[in-house]
Amino acid sequence: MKKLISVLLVLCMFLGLANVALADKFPSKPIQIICPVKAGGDTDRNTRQLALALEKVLGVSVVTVNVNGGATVMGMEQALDAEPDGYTLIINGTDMFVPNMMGTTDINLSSFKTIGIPLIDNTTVLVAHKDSGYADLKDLVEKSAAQPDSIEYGGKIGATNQICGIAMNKEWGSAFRFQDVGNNAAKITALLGRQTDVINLSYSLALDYFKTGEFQALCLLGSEANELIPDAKLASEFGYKNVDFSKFFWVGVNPDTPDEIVDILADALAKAAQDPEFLAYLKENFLTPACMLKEEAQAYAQKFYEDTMEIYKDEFIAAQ
Amino acid sequence: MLLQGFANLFANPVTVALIAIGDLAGLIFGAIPGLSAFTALAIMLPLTFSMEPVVGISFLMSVYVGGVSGGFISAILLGIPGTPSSIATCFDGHALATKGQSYRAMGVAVLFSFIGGIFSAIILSTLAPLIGQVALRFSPYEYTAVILLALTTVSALAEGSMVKGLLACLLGVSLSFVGIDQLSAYTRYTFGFRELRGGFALVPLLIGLFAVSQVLSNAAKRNSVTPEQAKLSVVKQARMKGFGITWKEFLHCLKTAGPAAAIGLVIGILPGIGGNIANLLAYTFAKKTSKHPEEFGKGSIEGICAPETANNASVGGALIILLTLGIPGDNATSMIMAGFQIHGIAPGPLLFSSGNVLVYAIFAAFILANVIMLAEAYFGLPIFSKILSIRTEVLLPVVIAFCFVGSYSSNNRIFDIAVMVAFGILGFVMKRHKYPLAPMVVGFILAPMLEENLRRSLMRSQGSLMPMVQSPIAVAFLVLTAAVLVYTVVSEVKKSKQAAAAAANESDD
Repeated sequence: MKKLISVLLVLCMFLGLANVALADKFPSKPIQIICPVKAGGDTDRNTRQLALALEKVLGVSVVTVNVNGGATVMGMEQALDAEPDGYTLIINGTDMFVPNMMGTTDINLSSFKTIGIPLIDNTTVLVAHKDSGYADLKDLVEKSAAQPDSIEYGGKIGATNQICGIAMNKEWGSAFRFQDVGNNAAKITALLGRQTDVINLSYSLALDYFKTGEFQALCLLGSEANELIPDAKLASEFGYKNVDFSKFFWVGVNPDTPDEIVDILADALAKAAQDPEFLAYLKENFLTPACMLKEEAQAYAQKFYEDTMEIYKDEFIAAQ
Repeated sequence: MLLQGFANLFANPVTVALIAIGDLAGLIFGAIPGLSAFTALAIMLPLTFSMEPVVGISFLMSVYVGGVSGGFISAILLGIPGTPSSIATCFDGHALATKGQSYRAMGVAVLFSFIGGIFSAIILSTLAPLIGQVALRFSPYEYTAVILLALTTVSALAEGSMVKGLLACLLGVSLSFVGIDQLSAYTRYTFGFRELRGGFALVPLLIGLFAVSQVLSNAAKRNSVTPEQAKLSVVKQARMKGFGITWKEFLHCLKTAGPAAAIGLVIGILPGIGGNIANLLAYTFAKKTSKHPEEFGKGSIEGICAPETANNASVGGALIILLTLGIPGDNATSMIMAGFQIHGIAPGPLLFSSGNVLVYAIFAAFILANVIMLAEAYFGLPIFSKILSIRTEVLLPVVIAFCFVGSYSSNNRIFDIAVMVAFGILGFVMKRHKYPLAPMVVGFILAPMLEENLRRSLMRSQGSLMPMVQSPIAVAFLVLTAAVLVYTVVSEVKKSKQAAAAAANESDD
């Protein structure tokens, strides 16, 4: 009996050592990235491209796992429930703040350890159909202000684009009437069918319609110009305050993940963000390369939330 | 242009080989209860990263076609729909199989899957841009009307007691309310359970209701079934040739297939609903318009032909919207959309107007995928029927294992497995007490869409229902809905009168 116990103890020690050895050689098995939205959108596209770049750096497969539901909450919960071993990453963006703002979850940016932000999507544009005949942003805002509620701004209710509508009305003096039309695909459909008047959208999602001239980018909803999209001017060029609804692309892990592993992942992310193919992908989709890591990235995301979203929180809650 | 597409395709034998492999993989995934076209696409997508765009997308198309088609195999042989698109195929397919005619049932399914697929492929390659434009006319008003029609029609289908059918439908409607409300982010009926905030997912619910409950029923009557099943497997096999039906039967079925294909196409075009609703709707339509409605549910070949034509026709419909407008209508097409994006191709109007060779290569691949699917399934028929000769105590555990995998992989959540088990038990109890399952599924799928579109309509019209009756398209669908309602009530009343008369006659004797 004693012998058996000692054998078991020795085995345990070996297993313990093996664990340490594994930590030394992180990563030694496939990594999964939880994408908290469905496949087929821009977030999913960015995740899959990042996974390809990370794979090259880390030398293990990096698998994108879509966990949809609850306005990204389901995916975030799954990442928090996962083992804190660095093998489960989660991506998100400005959408992560909304459920918390609305009080449906306690999960927030600070619930995770931030790995970094490898790209910023400064391509959110305010779009109208060319048949609507707005000369420019000024024309749209003036027409809207002259006849309140006559111009419909379509978006997804309870999401960042509703906050964007509130921000535009508040900062520009316009009086758009918000109407729920659904997600990005539904917004494009509604605008194409002239069922709604203006929407906000990532430029690359409707590139075809900008090329054919059916869609007209009235302004870039950002704080800085995007030289890749010269036809979308900032609101400030029309004399209005810039309303920033650009999106950062954030990568995080379970907060209990050891710092050494977070460091390895952050290094890998920094390298992946410099990968030539990844950079080419960014350029093709008008995205801005970034390389903010750990605390720096976390501080950026937090400040972004405070500056562009939190200030409209009361109106947003009241609008529900 | 289409010929050029074919030329491009055949220029590279690897593409053709991959379409054959994709079809086969899709068929297998589709045939396994729990796994569907979506699961197959999710797994195959990363394989296409290193392929040329045309090759990769052709491959994904073939997986999609195979995946939607393959569901009939388990629907007919086991009475378990292999995919949500083959729920209605179980009704008559399995009935025919228990009569020892599984070969014939599968022959019809294969043939009409092909016909539905080719029909939608032809429409896709000729009228796609035009249809895309019409689809854009659909605002929430029209959607509300269409969904109301679908909900009414399919609930009226209820096998046996209509009251039980409606109750099942209402149960589905109530269950769909669980979770975060789509429009206001308000949580409903979660009772504080964190996991319930996402609501019940469709895939585990379907797998539970249809597959797990069927396995439970089989287990419950294990001793009586095993020898019988063994008996019916090989007997008829050897005597059947071709697709197991005569020319006359084929032509007769073709009449059913016409409207079924149209239903499938239209449902496929509308984002959000696809093969799952199309097959049930086509089945109901076929039953209501058939000269022999009494044969439905007892092994009518019309009852197999209609849902199988419709679900494959819905694939072309979904692709029309994806390719012409760049809008993915369901989970499976979202995966194909992701495939396009990986290869740097944006589906949308420019893909067409630029006369891109790629578009015609995709059309050609879609047609070829249907043809190869027909060939593979045809030669596979004798092999598929052998499944019935596997002993249940070996087969069913395997089925259950796949149910677990399928439930998990649809959204990668462990909780969904629990959902599957719970609905398996519910389905078992409902079947025991003769409550039909199909209306419940229809209520579950359509109620949230009805709610969402109705609320959107009301939000836009400031609470007025008037704009809905001002839209000609919406009015047409509302009139149809009313007609279905009147027809159902009248025929139910007639039926009960007849039953009463028959009872009176009997007591007179």
